[in-house]
Amino acid sequence: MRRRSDYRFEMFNATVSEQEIERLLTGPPAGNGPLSDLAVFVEEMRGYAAYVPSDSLVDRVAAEAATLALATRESAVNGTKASPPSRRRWPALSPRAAVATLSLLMVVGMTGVAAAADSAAPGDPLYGLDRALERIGIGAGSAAERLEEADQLLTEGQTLQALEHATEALDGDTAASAALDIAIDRVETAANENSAAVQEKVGAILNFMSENIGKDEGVDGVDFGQGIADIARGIATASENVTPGPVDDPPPGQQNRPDEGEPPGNGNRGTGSGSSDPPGSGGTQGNENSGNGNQPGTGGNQGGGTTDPSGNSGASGGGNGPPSEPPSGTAPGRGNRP
Amino acid sequence: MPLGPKFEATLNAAKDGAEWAWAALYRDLAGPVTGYLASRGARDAEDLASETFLQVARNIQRFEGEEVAFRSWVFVIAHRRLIDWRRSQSRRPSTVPLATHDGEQSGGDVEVEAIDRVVTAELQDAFEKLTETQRDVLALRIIGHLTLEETAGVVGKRLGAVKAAQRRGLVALREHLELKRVTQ
Repeated sequence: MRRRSDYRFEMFNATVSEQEIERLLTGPPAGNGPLSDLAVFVEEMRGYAAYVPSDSLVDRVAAEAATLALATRESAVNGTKASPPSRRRWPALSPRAAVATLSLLMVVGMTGVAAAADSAAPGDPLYGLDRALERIGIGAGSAAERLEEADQLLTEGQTLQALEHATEALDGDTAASAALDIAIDRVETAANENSAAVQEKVGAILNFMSENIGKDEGVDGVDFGQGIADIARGIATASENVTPGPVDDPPPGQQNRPDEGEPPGNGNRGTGSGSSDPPGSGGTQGNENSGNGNQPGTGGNQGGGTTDPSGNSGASGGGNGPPSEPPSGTAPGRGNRP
Repeated sequence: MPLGPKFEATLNAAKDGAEWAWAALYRDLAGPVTGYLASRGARDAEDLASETFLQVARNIQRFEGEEVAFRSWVFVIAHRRLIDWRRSQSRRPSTVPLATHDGEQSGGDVEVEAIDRVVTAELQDAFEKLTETQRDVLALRIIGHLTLEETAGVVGKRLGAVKAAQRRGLVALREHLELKRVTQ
């Protein structure tokens, strides 16, 4: 059954173009074509957006929002920045200082912090710097490095995150990423995603990947993907034992997924300098802090990620957007994206 | 319906604390935002959507940009609210009562249920089988009307990962739907 899903994924890749998917998701209802069966789903999903709030709800939200906006405006006018000081866990670094700091790091090269950052795994404070440096060609991130990081995650008991991180070792939609997706799927539906049995299989996948990746450019090789898929199918899902409940909330801890290698402040990507990424500003905290940004004063983010350096630099480079919410300038940075 | 040319004036008025401006912004985005939250399983999607807007209000002074940027910024915040919500749910015992709505008025319940029933059970079923990321991505693309790039920004993933997730999500969806038809 799972084999069939591999096959289907490849068929889908071979027969459906990106434009067709785009048309399906954003265009008018598609009457025919290869995706017409999915058009029904898209149409129904669109129904969600047809929700209209009641007048009383609109009034209530508008009144509260207006009051809040006014309150923050007054504090901004009074000279204090709207962001409460308690949010700032690290001293604010001006963009220029950030550039200087990183230039120094670049001069120093792979020594010291850069070297330390290079070995940082997702979740470490230096991981953001690791990826930032990789983007500008220092300590170039290789598939092997991604896999090592995935391995690290696995040893920390973050099984699912490890697998998702491993997908970054692969570039593009290949049989291998389809196979990894099977593994992710099965781990997600396993009775206990951190059980020894599951971890063992995931470890086997990572080992297999490390040993075989890159062999005769084998990332695209069907055999490579097949190998992963074979191990993945050994992961017992809960449905093979017990039927999982309808609640699909992830277990505690899953929120901290560091699987997104790119920091949310990815507006800096491709600028060539990467210099506006202060240490600790990237990588993990986008998700890590996903709640923090919304709750001034909650603090508690390990990387100091909501500090202004990233926000400021994102805004000054890219232009439009809120400097500190989202914390790492996800929205503001978008303008910079190549 | 986007506010279009009126957006700039509305934004400025919103910064100045004009209720009408907030009402306009909320009316414009409540549909896709609440719809997105509901589609992703949030029981109290309306509450989450209004919390999202209050968070927007707290940070509005620092927002500079056009309507498109505003829209995706709102979704960034909504997505975070959703993650917070999921986290709070996962801390609770797994016996989450299906219809509990903590809101003060009972009117909310009816609307939330109405949102929940948008999609037929069959599709809902198939959709639930996808991974979290696949569902996030597809919902943001279809209900939120976000571009691939904007979606990547909201879920904090690379563009390639988002493309792959949407493709795999569709493949999986098709497979589940076909399987269902065969077994019926």
